[in-house]
Amino acid sequence: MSLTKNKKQTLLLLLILMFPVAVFSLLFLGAYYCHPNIEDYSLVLLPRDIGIYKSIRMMMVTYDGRYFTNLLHALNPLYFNSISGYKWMPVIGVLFFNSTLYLFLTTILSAKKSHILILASVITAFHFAIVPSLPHQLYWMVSSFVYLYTWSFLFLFFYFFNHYWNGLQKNASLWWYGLSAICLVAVTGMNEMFLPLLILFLLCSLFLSFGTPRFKAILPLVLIGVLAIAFFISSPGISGRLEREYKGESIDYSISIMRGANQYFYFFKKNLSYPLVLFFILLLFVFKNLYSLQSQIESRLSTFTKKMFFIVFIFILGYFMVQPYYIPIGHIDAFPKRIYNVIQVLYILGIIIFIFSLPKFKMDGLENVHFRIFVVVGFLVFFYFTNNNWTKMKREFSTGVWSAFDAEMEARYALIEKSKFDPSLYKLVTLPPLRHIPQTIYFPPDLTPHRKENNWNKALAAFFYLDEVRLVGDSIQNEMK
Amino acid sequence: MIRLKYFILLVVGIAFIWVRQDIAKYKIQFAAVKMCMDSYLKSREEFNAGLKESLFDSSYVGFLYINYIPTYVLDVNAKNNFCDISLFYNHENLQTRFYISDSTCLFQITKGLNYLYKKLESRKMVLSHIKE
Repeated sequence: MSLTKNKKQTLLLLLILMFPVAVFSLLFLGAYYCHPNIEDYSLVLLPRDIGIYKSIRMMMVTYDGRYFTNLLHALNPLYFNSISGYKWMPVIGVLFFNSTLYLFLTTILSAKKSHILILASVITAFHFAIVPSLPHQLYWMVSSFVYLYTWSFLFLFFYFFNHYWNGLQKNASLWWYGLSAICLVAVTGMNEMFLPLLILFLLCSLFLSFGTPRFKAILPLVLIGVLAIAFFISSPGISGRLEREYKGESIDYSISIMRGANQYFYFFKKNLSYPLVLFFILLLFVFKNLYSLQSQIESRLSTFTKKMFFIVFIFILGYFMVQPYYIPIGHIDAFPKRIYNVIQVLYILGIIIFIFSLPKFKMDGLENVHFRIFVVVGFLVFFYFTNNNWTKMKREFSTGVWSAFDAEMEARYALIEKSKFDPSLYKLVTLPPLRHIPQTIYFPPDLTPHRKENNWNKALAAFFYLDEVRLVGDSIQNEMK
Repeated sequence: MIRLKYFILLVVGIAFIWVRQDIAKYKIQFAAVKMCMDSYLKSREEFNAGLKESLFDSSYVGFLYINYIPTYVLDVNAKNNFCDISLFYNHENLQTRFYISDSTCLFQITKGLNYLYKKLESRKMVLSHIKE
């Protein structure tokens, strides 16, 4: 019995949706088992105990210039001491990323809204499936504010800016101006990696509007961006932090730049050779006829040379985005994977724009529903059998690592809860070490043996209103008092 | 409409400058705490010069500076890179202990002082309730 064309289309849709549904389901299940780490506590503790504004000010003097990220430390359930609420944060992170990406795609693509929504969900799922460090991107809340939420706020900014740019003559333009300004100020104060991208974007918008009536309207928005960037980089905490990082060493910046370039090339090569990435690119080719770029973007990528220049530009932009990270701490040999979480999103967007800028195929094969089903099934098979975050999560869940970790954390909370009924004035809690640490949903810091980094003990104690926290077997416990 | 947009720019600019000034002011307060700790380190130089010790081994009695005013008696005892700060209020002795190193010293001490200050405030509230 052969299926009708409509049924085949429905089957194709269901097959495509299997990918985001499978990834989102496991991500949400991971959220149920995730727990805050101590840095979450220590950073939320500051606004909770000394006030939101004071904590931002203190962080800007002592640690960094990320003023909006520091504000987000107060806009989450942990600020209200809710650990069960904390578990909703990854769900919010995924949905916020997905919806803001959808809004962004509507500004660059011309297609049916349902098709754009499916594309946004597939990209979101794909990103989380292969992101270099999943906990940093999603399950470690304060880290996700820096690496994931910055993209979401940037997508929102592009969406509002696009409306502002295209509707300057309309009465609503003030709203788009205000919303763009809020998002621009937010994005600037979240992650220094985005500063090169923002600077470039603001310069381009000035250049493109120069000599047109738009210029007068774009200029105040650009100046707001300049103010926000100046505010960020003039933060005294940055220099203080760098001084602490340097430890008196003199830094050879040429070595920093070379090391950065080396690692950047390595990341690029590793990512492109990843089988799932190649299948994803094939998937985009197969469905590219359903999407086209908005005419204003299409016209800027009209020739082959411009398209190639765009790809090279994305590659170079990625390099400049990692530089604010590499240059200041270039003397360190091992760089964290998390900074490439950010670059990966840039690459995915670059690939999408490049592929959708290519002329529409006229080959029957690519339009053929059987061929599309074949490619989607191939992608799903690759996804299921190759090593990626989803398969790692599945493995950790099925082998009971997540539930064991959850039980250990719950046991800790129970001990802390019990201490509330302790009549002694000095509240001391001794906690067991974590024996099951899932790589996909948790990342240290945790309490270290023998209080090697005692500040984490203090942070945990302060968050739960205790006087002291120790790890079982702490060899210096008798030295106290 | 354009004027309104520039007015918003002006408001945002004033807000940024005001906060930046406030941060600069706070930085001075922070420097006051640093001064307190520097004098603590200096006391180590002066009084413990002959001792073979790790960097922070010393004890110091000074004052916790809040808004430039030496407010509370502060006792700092450091040994083997563990720093105990005690803060005295009425008959209360509030303590905190943390690990310090070259790179985290000031940040940790400030965090420790803030932590103590918060604790002090809550103890003051408890005491006031007891008196009532």
